[in-house]
Amino acid sequence: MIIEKHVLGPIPLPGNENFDVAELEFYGINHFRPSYSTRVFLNDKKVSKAVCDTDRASYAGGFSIFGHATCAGDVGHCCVPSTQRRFDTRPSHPLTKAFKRIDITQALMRVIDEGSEELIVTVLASCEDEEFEGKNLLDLQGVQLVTHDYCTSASY
Amino acid sequence: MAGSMVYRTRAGSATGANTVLLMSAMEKIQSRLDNNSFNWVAGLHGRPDWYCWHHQRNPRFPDTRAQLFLPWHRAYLHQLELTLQDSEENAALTYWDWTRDDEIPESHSRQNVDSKPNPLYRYRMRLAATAMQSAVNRYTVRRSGMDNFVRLPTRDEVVRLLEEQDWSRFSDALQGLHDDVHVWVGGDMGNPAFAGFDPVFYAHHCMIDRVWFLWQQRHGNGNIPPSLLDMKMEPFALTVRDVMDVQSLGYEYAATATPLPV
Repeated sequence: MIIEKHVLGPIPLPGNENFDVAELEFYGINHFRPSYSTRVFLNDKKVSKAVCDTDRASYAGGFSIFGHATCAGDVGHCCVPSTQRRFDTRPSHPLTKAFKRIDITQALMRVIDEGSEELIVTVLASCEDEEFEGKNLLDLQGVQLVTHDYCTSASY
Repeated sequence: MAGSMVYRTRAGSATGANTVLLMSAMEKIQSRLDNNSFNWVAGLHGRPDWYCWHHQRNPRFPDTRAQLFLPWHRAYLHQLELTLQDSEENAALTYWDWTRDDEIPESHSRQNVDSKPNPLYRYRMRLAATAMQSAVNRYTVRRSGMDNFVRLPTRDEVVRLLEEQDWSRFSDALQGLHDDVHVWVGGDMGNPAFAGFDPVFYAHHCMIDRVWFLWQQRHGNGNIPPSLLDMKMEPFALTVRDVMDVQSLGYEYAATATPLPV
């Protein structure tokens, strides 16, 4: 089993602490990869391949990628078109980059309660396929922190 | 009862009446290699036909995003169930409730039942070589629980998910739980090319379909985009609209359904 570590950020924490829901959105995820799973930690410098239990206070959640693994076609088969042609009504290419969203509300509340002013996200990605060692399992375009205010009593 | 609706019940014991009927039908369609066979239906998902719709995910461009994950797999399960019913008229698929059973149910994990190979345990894939790919002739394999980074979804997660009102967010989140289970089972289930050949794939997807069914009980069809409803779902002769009502496909979900002798 291989475990990769990615440290993202820092970014400033949202100014308004009165949100109802906080989510991390991972977008543009390349799933032309073997299947893998992740664990996400907030503001925890001690997280490592050996220190990554889900009972750590910094654990925020995780997601899995049901990866496409290897190319089954000929030249260009797995190349995702960068644009959709005007009259092409076919659905998007099967390898269109993936999107994942995890709810980190409780974990982010804890970070804010601790007095932090910035957020560092550590993502550990784990895969059974050891042949993928060093080949950048978690390959994505971006991550964003999104908070929602649903006008509940907590936010007014 | 010819043409009657069936209940898809919770997978469990390897000797329950519904499971015995399912095993009998599965054994029959696994012994064939024509277009009424398990091999053919399984091959629609990944190799060799690649119709699966897991990855139509394009979150930044909602208008071009074909979110067919749930409807396509509902049509796919229906196709397999009809094929099973060609062999055993009242056969129905069963669902693996991974929020209650933290292992693959006995019906799908016992290697032998009544001294015979269990057709829900594994399947010998038979795929012809193509210009690009070598032939495959081997049994499916699982590596359940080997990836200790991932765990099976919990009841609380499903309960929270059922509160979601937005179709798109619900579909994404349920797909996330779905991915967790594929990775947890591992082996061929962790690879879209071969996942459809493992019989537990269908018990897993019935649970996904059941969660959608439960969501529909609460929210109707939600705010599913009208443009999606008329999309055809190849290779089936069904549009998204055609699969919105499970009763029109001849099934419902129940925890148990036990026929009484009369």
